[in-house]
This record gives sequence, structure tokens and C-alpha cells, in this order.
Amino acid sequence: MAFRGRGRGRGYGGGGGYGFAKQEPFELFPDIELPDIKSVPKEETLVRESAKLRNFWKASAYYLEETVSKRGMDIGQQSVDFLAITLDMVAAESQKWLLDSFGVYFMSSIFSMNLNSQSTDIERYSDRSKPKTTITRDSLSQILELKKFPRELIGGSRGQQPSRKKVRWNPESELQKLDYLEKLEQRAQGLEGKDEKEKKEGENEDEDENDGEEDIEEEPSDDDYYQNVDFDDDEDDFNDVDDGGEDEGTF
Amino acid sequence: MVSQYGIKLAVHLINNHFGNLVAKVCENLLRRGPLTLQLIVRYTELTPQQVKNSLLILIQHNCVQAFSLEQEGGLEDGPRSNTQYMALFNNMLHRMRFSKFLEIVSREFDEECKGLLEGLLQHGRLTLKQMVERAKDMAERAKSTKKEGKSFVKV
Repeated sequence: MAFRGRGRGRGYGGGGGYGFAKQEPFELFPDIELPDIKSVPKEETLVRESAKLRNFWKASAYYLEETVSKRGMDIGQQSVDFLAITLDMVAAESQKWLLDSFGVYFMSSIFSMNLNSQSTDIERYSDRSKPKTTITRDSLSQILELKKFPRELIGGSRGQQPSRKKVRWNPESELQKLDYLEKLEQRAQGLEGKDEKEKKEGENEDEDENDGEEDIEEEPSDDDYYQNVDFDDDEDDFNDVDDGGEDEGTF
Repeated sequence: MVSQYGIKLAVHLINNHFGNLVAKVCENLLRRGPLTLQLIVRYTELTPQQVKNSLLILIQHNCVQAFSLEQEGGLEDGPRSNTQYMALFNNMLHRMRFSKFLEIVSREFDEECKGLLEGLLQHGRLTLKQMVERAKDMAERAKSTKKEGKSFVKV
């Protein structure tokens, strides 16, 4: 299969000659003939359906959103952080000017307006016409079939923790476990014993078969030992100095 | 293996459909693989209740699969069961094609079939009872609107 892939790029070479690919100049934006826009169908029904589904989910209990509060504050905080970074880089004289100018900017900007409007809860007449952003949703437990979900997820939505047994040391259960382990051990030993017996039996059979050969091989050949040839008795062979019996204790 | 852009797309879809809380849980599951509830709470830094609700929604819409692993070494006599949650990436991407599915069904079959499929796509999973009730409601609503139309014409 690999040779097929290789050959793909060398079609122009002719006769399967092994030559390098011809270098061509790289063009950043080559002229491409785009298909006619009018021929592409505009699938409005799909867009409408997907918008419908999305609106359904947004209005349903499935839509969970983290309430983002004090947007203006956050943006203001970011600007202040940015200011602190730039201040490190600017000389001390210009710091004053920057602080003053940003101070004036913040006072007159939308951020200060936001802060003020958050602190006072006065309802304006113009706010009445605005659509309410908070949508009252059903709780999830009303919609979902809770039986078919993991228990740890359902426990919370009902407001009840699943009743947990207090974890206590139960000596009886430990003893039972020990008994079980002992049984296992005994069984394992029994199995081992059986295996050994079988092995022994097998070995005996083998021995019976090989008796003649082994007798010959196992004959004690102590010749090397007695002759002291090729026998290592941990003695220093090169410094064989006789102490004249000093090692022996004198009584 | 899901590419990082695939994960971005899936998270965007979930964010669009179910809001940013659910999307946060989903992103963690996609990036880190199967996780337990405790780990999800730790990684997302949301409250346990928020995470539980997000998981319920994701499971309901077949974007997450829960499975339990039994491990030995529990404190009580039985083995400790450990529930883990796994994101189903392909199912998340299929959410883009829901309108296409609806269109094909409406072209091939009748309006009733479309209604049934629409219910399933909206709610993720429904029991037979729920589907029957929903179909009944739809039929009654259609009747009442017809009647209203007729009476309006009369008036």
C-alpha cells in the first residue's frame, strides 16, 4: 500500500522515474473561481427551526446561567489594574497626571453611573416599558423523570441527603473477613498441596523412567575433592604459609 | 481523540443552548475525561447544587453518560461504588443538526411524526407516557386554534 501513496505525487515524472518534485512558486492568494452565490440555496427553514429550538431552551428550565452582576464594576476594575501596570513604567511626575486624568474620566464615565444606580433602588418610569430580563423558570425536578438519574444527583434536588449509615468499626465484620481470608488461604494451601503431590507423583514417574541414566550421573565423584585439583576451599593458594600450629589454642 | 477546536465548538453549542454554567461543566468533562461529582465540583469551582443541576440537564439531553465503577476497599462491608460522568462529544455536535433532522422528518413523514421528534429534540429524553400526553396536548391545541379561527371569521 505504501508505494501507491508515494507514486501519487509523481504522476508527471513519466515512467516512474525517481526525481525530485518540481518547485513551483508559492502564491499567497491564488485566483479561485467561486461558485455563483445565487445558485447556493438559502435554507431559511433550517435557520428558523434552529432559532425556535434555541428560544425554547432559553425559556425552559434547562437553561442555567451564572448571574453576572456589576458589569460596570468589573470593567472598571480591569481598567484600574491596567492603570497600575502602566504606572510602574511611567515616571513619577507623569503618574500624578495620569491618576488625575483617569480620576476625572471615571467620575464622568458610565462606570460611576452604574455604581450609583446599583446603590439606589429607585424605579424609574422609563424602566417599566423595558422587558424584564429575569424569566421565571420551572424547577428541574418538575420536568425530569428523576428515577432514571444517578442517586447522588437526585438527593440534592429534593433537598435531602441520602441517609448515610454512620461509619463504625464493627469487630464482627472484621472477624468474618478474617475467617473468609483464612478459608481462602486454606483453600489455596490445599490446592498447592494437591499440586505438589501431583508434581511429586509426576517426578517419581520421571525418575522411574530415567533411573538408569541418573544412577550413572549421580555417582559421587569425589576424586576432585580428594586430589585437591580444581577444588576451591577458600584457602589462599598463593600465600600458603604454615603458621606452625599457632591457630590452635593452647591449654 | 477530540481536538481542541472540536471541544471549543461543542462548548459553544452547549453554552448557546443551556447557558454558561452547564457549558463550564461540559468543558471540564471534555478536557479532563470522565470525572466524579466531587472532582467536577472542585475543578469548576461551582456549588455542588449548580453542578448537580448541570449534570442532570446534560444527562437528560444525552450529552453526558453516567456510569458506576465498583471498587474494593469501601468502609462498609460492600464494595465502594463510584459514579463517574463522561461527556459524549458526538451527541453534542449533533445538536447543530437538529433543524436538519426536523426538516427531513417533515419532508418524509407527516406532521404528527414531526411533532414527536420535536418533543424529543426539545427535551432530550421522554417516556412513552410523556410523549403521548404531549401529542394529545398538541392535538387539542390545534383543534382549539381552528375553532377560534372559525368563530373569528363568523364574527
